[in-house]
Amino acid sequence: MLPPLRHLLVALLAVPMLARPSSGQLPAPPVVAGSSFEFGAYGAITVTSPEHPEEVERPAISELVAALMAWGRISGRASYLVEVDMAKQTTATWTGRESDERLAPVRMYLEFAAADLLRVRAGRFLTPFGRWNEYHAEPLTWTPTRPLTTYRPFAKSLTGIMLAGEASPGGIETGYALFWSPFPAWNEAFQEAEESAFGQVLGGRIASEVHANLTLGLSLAVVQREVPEVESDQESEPGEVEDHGRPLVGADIAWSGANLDLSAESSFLPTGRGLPREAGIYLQGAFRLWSQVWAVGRAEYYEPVDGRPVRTGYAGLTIRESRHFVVKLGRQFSRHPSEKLPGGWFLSLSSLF
Amino acid sequence: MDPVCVVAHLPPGLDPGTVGLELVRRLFLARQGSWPDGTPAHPVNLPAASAIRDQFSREALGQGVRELAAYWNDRYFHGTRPPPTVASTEAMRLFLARTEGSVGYLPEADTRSLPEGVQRLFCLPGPS
Repeated sequence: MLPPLRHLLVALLAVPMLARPSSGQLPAPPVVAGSSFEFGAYGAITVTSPEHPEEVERPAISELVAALMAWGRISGRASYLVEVDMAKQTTATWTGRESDERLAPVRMYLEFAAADLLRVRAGRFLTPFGRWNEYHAEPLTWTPTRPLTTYRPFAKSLTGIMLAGEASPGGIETGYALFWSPFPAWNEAFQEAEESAFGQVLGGRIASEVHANLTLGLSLAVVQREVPEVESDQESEPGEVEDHGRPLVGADIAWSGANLDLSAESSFLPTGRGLPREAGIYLQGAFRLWSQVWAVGRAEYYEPVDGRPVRTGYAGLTIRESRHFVVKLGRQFSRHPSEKLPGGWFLSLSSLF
Repeated sequence: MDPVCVVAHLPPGLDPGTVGLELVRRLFLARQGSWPDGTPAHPVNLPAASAIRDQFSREALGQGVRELAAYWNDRYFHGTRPPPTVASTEAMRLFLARTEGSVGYLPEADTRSLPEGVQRLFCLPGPS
């Protein structure tokens, strides 16, 4: 027998009290540098023992990333940031195939802060769509695999212009980002192989810390993507840019406390010119077992992959001693494992320094 | 434990009444880089191991130093470090005195006599 509704409401209201207030992440955070040049880097290696119908493969390196970052203050209001992937081998691509980029500028932009509510960013930057993409570096995430929802429907980076800012109306921390990439050539120059690529895009994201430990975000964009090799039909040739924009909608939520971290994202892209609709959602939770050891689980639904919906799950442990040393070990489950989306064990070591 | 008080060397002409806890929180979380009049703000911390800093962090920022680590790791990926640190409360007093636009925190007892140009804005209520 269900408890009275008032008891459930009291319990729901009490949940936030179990966790200390946290500071959520808002879109397109600014560069705040103390000098004209600062330097950082991150790296990750993932070993996988993948399972798919064809075979169970021997453990092998499935992901190898090494990136350098530099940022700094040009003047009181102007700053810059550059991130270059010195080496990358990853399975987090549109088609699931590895991308062997040796030198790829992931981010390269100038930013002018006219005010805290208005910053202008120009160059190449992470697409501020959803929450995961802007914080996708392996040492910052909970799992060694990335949800399809966070990279299949849009390009991870774009070349263009963005307006962004933060304010706290009524004491609610709120941030926004509006971005525009009008020319396909701007994106083609930096496109990574076999990634979702923008031709043109106009969009935005707004996120608010509606409670001390709860952040909600909404993302909306009109996208004209480059038709991927897979999932296309005779109406559009692979490599061509879609001739009509389609609305891409997303929502995200994150709730974080001292011992518990919950997050979810969703995305939806309707059909267009023979191209199938794409829709996905994931739910993820991390629970502190002791000290820096966390139990992590995720469930995701995404369609289509090879023409059909897929359901994947992940369960594992993550050790976050500090950002300099993060270990993740877990198992990915897939209802229809394939070479593109294998199940199996994943072990990841990563560091941000 | 002594209450912790926010102290600052405000830009000339800036009304201290416009500087409240919410603004201080935004400055120390690097969500805002300037005072209401647009001049650059310079927040400064005590060392991470300092009990005073942890008390300030819990009462003003809503989380202790350790719990904010994930927030700063995420911001580091976007080119932001936490505010710089000074070694002691005496170093804090010196920094504030020499740096217009700076803001920091001290135990209440240390705010009864402050360097020229530095003023106590308000004291935090303490743990409930």
